[in-house]
Amino acid sequence: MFKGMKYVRAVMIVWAALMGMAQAHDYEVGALTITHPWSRATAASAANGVAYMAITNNGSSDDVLIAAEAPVSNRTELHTHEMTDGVMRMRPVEGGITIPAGETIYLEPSGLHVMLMGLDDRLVEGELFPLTLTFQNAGTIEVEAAIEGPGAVLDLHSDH
Amino acid sequence: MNRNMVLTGVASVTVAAIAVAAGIYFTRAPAFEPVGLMPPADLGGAFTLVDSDGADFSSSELSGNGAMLYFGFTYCPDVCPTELARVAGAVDQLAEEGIAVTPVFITVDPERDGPELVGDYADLFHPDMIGLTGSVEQIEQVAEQYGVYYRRVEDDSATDYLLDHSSYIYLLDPTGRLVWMFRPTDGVDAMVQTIVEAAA
Repeated sequence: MFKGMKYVRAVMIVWAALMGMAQAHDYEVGALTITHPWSRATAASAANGVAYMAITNNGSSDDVLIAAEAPVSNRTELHTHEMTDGVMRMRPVEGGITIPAGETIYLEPSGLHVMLMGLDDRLVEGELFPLTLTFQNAGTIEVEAAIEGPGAVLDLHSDH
Repeated sequence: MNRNMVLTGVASVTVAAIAVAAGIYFTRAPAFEPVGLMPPADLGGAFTLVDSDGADFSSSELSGNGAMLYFGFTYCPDVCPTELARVAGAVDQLAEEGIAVTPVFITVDPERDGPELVGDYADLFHPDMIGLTGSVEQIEQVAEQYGVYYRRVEDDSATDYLLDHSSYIYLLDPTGRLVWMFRPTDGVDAMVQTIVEAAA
């Protein structure tokens, strides 16, 4: 009985992963590919939200993500997390997020992320919201962030 | 059209086959190693805080079941949701094993996180999750009891300050005693298995 449950759960997880990949969405701007921008559902009263994605630089010179803007929030900051001695420190990234030539930078849980500060409304799982990204060289692009579950952790590394 | 339907059918069957194969693969559990830390003997203890209705909440209300405590704050959109989802996932898996554990979120930001906010936030992750706040003094006291570190980091505006905070999941036994701590790097399955082995 119990083995059976575990088995069903494993199948569901794999199924969800495959479905997730099928719905992944990519954007191109200049030499950059932006893979599956996503966010997390929030409580009605939540002040802040977050956005993640993978950014690949297919070009031969570095680029920098210098700003992100979303109409769902009053203010947006680029943040990173450092953990030292069990303490999480979230800090704005000074000067933007560098995307080195030929590399992929992952904005992901417990690391680099776009912080959406002062949400107008709750973010609802299954919905999308527009996010404008500005790069030093590639310029500006509007992408759609897909809202996943409240504590979702998507692994975009497997796509590459 | 017809060809598309056939292709879709073939694709679905293939996906299902892969899923089944992977399911069989993942159920072959590797050798078990417990994860987490034994807490220092002086950590833990009873506390009284404020629940999502604004009423006093005594930790004695948790006794009978185990509990998993996480200290965070609702302004935290990245690490806290990740950890609370891990707590929720572990609690559900433990329930399947017949081990009842109550998930509990305690804010370290009582000035912004009132009862309604902690309740809403806790509900987002698990229907049984209890959200707790309290006076600044109550939170300071419980944080000290559990060795929780938090420090306000002033931003350029007073309302948007951030908090540095330690990020452990605290496991209480059914008598309310702190018995184990999990770190953010401990996987959910490994946490569950650690608890199951310990309870056996």
